[in-house]
Amino acid sequence: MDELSQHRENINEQASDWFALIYLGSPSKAEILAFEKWCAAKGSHRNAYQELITLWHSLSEQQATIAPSTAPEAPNLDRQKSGNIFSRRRVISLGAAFAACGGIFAMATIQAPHKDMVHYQTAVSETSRITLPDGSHVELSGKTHIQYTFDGKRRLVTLYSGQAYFDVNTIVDQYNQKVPFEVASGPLNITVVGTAFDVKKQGNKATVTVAEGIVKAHTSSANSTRVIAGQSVSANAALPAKQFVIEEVELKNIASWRQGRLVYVDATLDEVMSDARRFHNGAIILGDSSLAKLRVTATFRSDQINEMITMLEQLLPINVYLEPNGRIVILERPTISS
Amino acid sequence: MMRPRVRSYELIRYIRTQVGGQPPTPPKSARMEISNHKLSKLYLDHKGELLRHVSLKFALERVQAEDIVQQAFAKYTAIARDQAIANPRAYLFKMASNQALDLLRRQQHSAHPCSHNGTDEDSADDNQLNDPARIHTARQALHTMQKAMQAMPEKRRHFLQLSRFEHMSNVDIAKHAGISEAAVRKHISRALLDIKHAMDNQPLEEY
Repeated sequence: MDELSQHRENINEQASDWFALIYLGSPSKAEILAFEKWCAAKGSHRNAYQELITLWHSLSEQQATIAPSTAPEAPNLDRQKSGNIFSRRRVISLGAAFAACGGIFAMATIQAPHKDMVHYQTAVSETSRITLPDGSHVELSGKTHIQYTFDGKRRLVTLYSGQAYFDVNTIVDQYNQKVPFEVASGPLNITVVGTAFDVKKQGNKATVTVAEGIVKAHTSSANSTRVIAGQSVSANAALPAKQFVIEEVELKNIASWRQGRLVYVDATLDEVMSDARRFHNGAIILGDSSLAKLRVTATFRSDQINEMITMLEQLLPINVYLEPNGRIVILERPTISS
Repeated sequence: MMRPRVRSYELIRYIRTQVGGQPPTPPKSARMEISNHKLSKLYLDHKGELLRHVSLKFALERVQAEDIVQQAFAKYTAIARDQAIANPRAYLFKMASNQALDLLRRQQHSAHPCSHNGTDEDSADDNQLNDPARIHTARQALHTMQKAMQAMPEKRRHFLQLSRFEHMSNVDIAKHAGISEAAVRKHISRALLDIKHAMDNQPLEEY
């Protein structure tokens, strides 16, 4: 190695030490002073440090290509078992995630460049943070499938199933016009420019909850409405009118699944179970359709579905059976007569 | 007694003229009026720490840092017009950090000798989203980073992952792994250095 590159090497080494302390850590007064002195000593010091910052953040952008798969036209998520290579459970303490990552990375590099359409999907109880090709950030909940397309005029995301939180990046085209970002899920379509919101699909019903800014929601029957931060709008394809239902939501409860919390305020048991199925490996069966309408107000942890079910047993008139194969059966609690 | 209310853009203009910037054009419709008092209090309360934060973390010049804090406040005002923001301080920090990062990216993009398009137009990144050469370069970079990550010792990669993707602090990782904070820093520093090496030494391809 020649002297020059050795010199550059040394600067990079110092810069990354500073990066770990200054950028990632909480430096002391003396350390801050020392860092500022180091920066001021040479222009190349500062540049090396700043290059590491952008490199560090580009590591997240590489996640964008982690999940894409060449998904089938008609998605069938039941076929996606958690053992597939896209599975990346966010279990903090497990190094196992890295073994999986290796597989994912390999997949990303061999797939043909297909810039206009990308699929992302997650397995049961797996959540994933991705960056779309336009720089927007998306967090996918368990058992979720989305598709992103960009046709040069608009960005379109289709949420086939599950739940996702979008933090949309504002981008402009060559005429300096803002490029709209659209999400289609079941009966509901929404259009935004740059904002943050959560979209969830449960069977025929789709719900959009807005965390920041404003979104415009419309259904195929040409109804349209504006939804602002702290509100949610839902539409159900099974209902003939396809009317919107707008509800107020507490900001802190929006997309709380991202922190591993599932929050319900006067939700139906059906809705709760539909979420639980995305975090539980195994079937969850409601023994009687009348149970679906029971009301629940509670908070659960998404990584503890068994505890959630046991808790529900105490809250509601139900009996719960946890079978050894992971199957959960919920039956009406018989009323004791006599 | 009623407090005098001022449209938010007037306040931005006020703030801007204080630091010598150009007054912005008023927005077409200011839906909600924000009290002068509330905004200037926010500005006075947080300007100092925001400046210190971005200039330290991103190693910015004083002028750059001031620009960024200005932009963050201007954006905040524009957004706060339409909606309530639960934690203004956190919001401002996030916005300022994002802007600082964008600034660094733009700087490095235009400084790079292999840069595809040297012009310094606004949102060059967005316009080039579909540029095949750019996509190719990005893919290659991705591949290089991936190989570098795979080549790392298990522990190094693990700590990098916790820090970068799980957003754990050095202190938390140290507690979690039962080692000192300095050791955690060393691991992460080495991890990033590995990737930096790989990126600097990646073979150049012509297209």
